[in-house]
Amino acid sequence: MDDRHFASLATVGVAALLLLLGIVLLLVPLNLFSGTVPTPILPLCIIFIYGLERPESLPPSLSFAMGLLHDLLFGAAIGPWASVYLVVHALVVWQRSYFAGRDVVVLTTGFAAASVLAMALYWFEMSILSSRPMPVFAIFWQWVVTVLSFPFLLALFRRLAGRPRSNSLV
Amino acid sequence: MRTALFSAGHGDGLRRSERPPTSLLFFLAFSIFMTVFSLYGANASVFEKARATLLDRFAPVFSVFSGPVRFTQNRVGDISDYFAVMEENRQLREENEALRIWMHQAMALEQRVAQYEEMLDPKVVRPGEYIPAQVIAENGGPFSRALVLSAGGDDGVRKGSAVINGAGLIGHVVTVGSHASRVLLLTDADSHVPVYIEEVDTEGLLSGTAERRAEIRLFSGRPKGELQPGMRVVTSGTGGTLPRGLPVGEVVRISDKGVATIGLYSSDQRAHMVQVVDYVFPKTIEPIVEEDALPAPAELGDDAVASAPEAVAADG
Repeated sequence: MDDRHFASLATVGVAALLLLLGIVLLLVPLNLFSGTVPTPILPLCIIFIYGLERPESLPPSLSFAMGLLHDLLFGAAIGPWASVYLVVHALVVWQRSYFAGRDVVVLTTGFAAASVLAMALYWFEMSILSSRPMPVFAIFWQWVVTVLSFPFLLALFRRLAGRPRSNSLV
Repeated sequence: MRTALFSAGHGDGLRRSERPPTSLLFFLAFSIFMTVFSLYGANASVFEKARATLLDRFAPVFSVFSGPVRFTQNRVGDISDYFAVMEENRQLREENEALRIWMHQAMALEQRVAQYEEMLDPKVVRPGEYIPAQVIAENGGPFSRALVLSAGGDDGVRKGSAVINGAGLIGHVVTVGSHASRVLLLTDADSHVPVYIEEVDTEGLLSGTAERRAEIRLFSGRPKGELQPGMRVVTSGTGGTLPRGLPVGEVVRISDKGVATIGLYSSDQRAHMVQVVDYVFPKTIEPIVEEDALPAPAELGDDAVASAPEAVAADG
């Protein structure tokens, strides 16, 4: 195994570990602000950031596998979270050229748009599976918290990855 | 922001797009197919086994992560308790006085019930044992309400077992691994528990709404106005999965359609330590044998058995 191959495997491994950490944090009883604030869905942020900054380190199979792991660990139906992860992944890959070099505000808006579509799909899937419309407020509130946490995660990622704050793609 | 989103300077805006790779679209289609398949096969044994195995593998990880979180929450709780200690002390004194009266009444009743049971010898089914467990994880999803416990099949936890805390029933076990198990809370949309409303002597189905509350639909039509806020709700034991009489909550509101919203006893108490009720519904029924009963057919011999119906017919 040459060094380049090993390095690419290592970056995929780091992405997998970060996604795993995000999923585990969703299951840890954090009870932020006495349980009034839900835990942000960090894996969605991580997929979007990797799709922007290091797409080669996030193969679609990894998003799919982590989505399935999320579904299984939550003990619910198989597939909804995998589809949510992949919708965000597909949208960020689709618009990656557009996002190149944009400001954090634009990237956050892009993430908000991608994640709202993904969460709408999740709401629809869960409503179908439960045979009744699921409450909207809970998912909306968690989406808001997730979007608000995105800029901080992006800044943290760029700091750790040693990239400049602006124009990180090119 | 508008300028940044749509302006020139970055070429042709949203039209500058890349087609997602085929593998990505394939996995997306496959995941949606799996979701549709879950409509029919979410509880297939292969998925159940995968859930239980993952639960076991991740239980140590959850314990490691939840330890510091619990420690921090407890310290923060200690600090807030410190500021409320005087008021809390007064409330506890009052509660203690009331409980002391209840305790004496309960002891007297317990003695009387024991006497009646000795006289009547009723076959009362009792929960066997309580298995203590620690909550090591909670579902952080928008809809699902579940906990992961540190006790599993090796500790005696069974699928369907009731889980209680100091206040009352909080849910029942849906997935059992060797060292960990998952509890579906009463407020989860998939939770359905048969309950009994004591004051009106009627049974119903308590269902979660995914909005941190639970509602009861009654099995039988009851006259409007019969249900009143404050009525106590306990498990009915129907179906044999849960024992009868576990405290659940009380009626807080009744809609025009007759659906009662229940204030759960356990809802305002965040569960850290819980108990799994080790209960098995008695499936074998001992036949009642009278002392002066007829001799068994084996003692009468084959001829007697063969002629018995004829003898009955002749008597008739």
